[in-house]
Amino acid sequence: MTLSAKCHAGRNGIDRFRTSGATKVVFPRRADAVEAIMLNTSGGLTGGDRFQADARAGPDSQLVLTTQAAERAYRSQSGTARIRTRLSAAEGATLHWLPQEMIVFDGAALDRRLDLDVAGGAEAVLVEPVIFGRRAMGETRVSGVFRDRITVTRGGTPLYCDRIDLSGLMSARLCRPAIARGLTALASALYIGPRAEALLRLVREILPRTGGASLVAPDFLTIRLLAEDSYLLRQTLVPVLECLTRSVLPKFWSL
Amino acid sequence: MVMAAPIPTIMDTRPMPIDARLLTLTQWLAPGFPTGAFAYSHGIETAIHDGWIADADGLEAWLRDCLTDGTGRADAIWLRLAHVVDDPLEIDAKARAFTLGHERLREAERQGSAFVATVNAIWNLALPDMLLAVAVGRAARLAGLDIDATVALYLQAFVANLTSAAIRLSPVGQTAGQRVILHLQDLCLQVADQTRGADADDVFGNAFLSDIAAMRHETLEPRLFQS
Repeated sequence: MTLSAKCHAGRNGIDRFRTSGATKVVFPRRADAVEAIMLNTSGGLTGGDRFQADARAGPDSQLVLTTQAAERAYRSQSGTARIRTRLSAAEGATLHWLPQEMIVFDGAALDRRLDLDVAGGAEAVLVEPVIFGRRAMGETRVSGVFRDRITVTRGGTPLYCDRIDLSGLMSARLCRPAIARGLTALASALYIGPRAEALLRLVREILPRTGGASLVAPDFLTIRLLAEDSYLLRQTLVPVLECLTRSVLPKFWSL
Repeated sequence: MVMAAPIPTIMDTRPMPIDARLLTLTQWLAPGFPTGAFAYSHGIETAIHDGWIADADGLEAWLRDCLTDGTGRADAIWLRLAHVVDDPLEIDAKARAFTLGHERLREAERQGSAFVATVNAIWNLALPDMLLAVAVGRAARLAGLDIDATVALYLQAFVANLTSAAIRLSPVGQTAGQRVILHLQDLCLQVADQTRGADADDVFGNAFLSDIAAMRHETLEPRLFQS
């Protein structure tokens, strides 16, 4: 999928849009931003799948991307599912990347890479929630491959790099004391922009003991959050994201 | 985890080579070397405060994760890269981008600057300010020190420093603390071994609660440590 938003005479609109394969996109009517709701019509990911998303918020535009449902990484018979996402926010633009959870099933093999470039004077909010096995469904043993990388650059210069590699018996690794103490729902969230310092205080008031927030630079807020399951994760994540985006989340994000 | 670790060297009767470079290395990585290491707990102060580390076994398990999935493994790779590349500042920039939190960055930054100031003054090097692991890797290269030994000793110094922090925070006694360091000896060697040949793309950080504890330390009151 390729999508870019532009702003002309104070109105946001789609500049370019193209999609192929299993990715469908719905654009609900919205005055203040281009909102894109992505949907994987194949019903889930498995070995060998390739997904690519390129999204750009052009100068002064507002672009919000989300997904219609939680994504599922199913048992892979062979090969690894690859997801590549490239996001950019041009000067004066606002970009929100708010996908719902990625649910990792036993036997999944998933390799994700997300690159975000934020121009000076742009604002970006990014979240990636992941659930390792649905605890309520008794999915307590999860093994496989899970590699996830987020890189943020400013005008090409690296600002931030986060990489998770939980390959092997993930459920056992998540039981380790300095990893997750058995918590199976994980979210990483970032805010880049002028409100970072003020947001740090607000976000800290919402976070439980299993969540942390810190400024890695004066305009760069990073958040890591763990919870027992996806419901409890959302209980914290929804107010945190509303705080970061200063708006009500797209409706699929409701608790 | 109360089992006694075998003492790995006790039956090993091979000669143990020693030369001045090994003494230089232990001087650099000794707790008395003025990097200010004693001021940093790497988030362990929060973990103890929250009851996540309650005793020596808890500390050992926590440090195990820091070595295999957290800062220990990542630092081992930065050290190795700083030892081989032409421009260590490139590695320093990557290591900074990878550091997840304000106090974590400050911990690595300030110890790195203090290390650089001392080795520049005494060993006549001209290193720029860099994060600790990058600075040690670079200095080791310039002084002709063996990189495998440097990584293993660096990891043990990391473990020993955090054990000493836990002792000061009191859930771990002096003797039990030394047992923790001994139990982690093999793991320090393993991580040193496994990171051989790794590049920046191989760095990862899965020690989520260690990272979260470090972030939450910024607002912990009262506190003894700077991280």
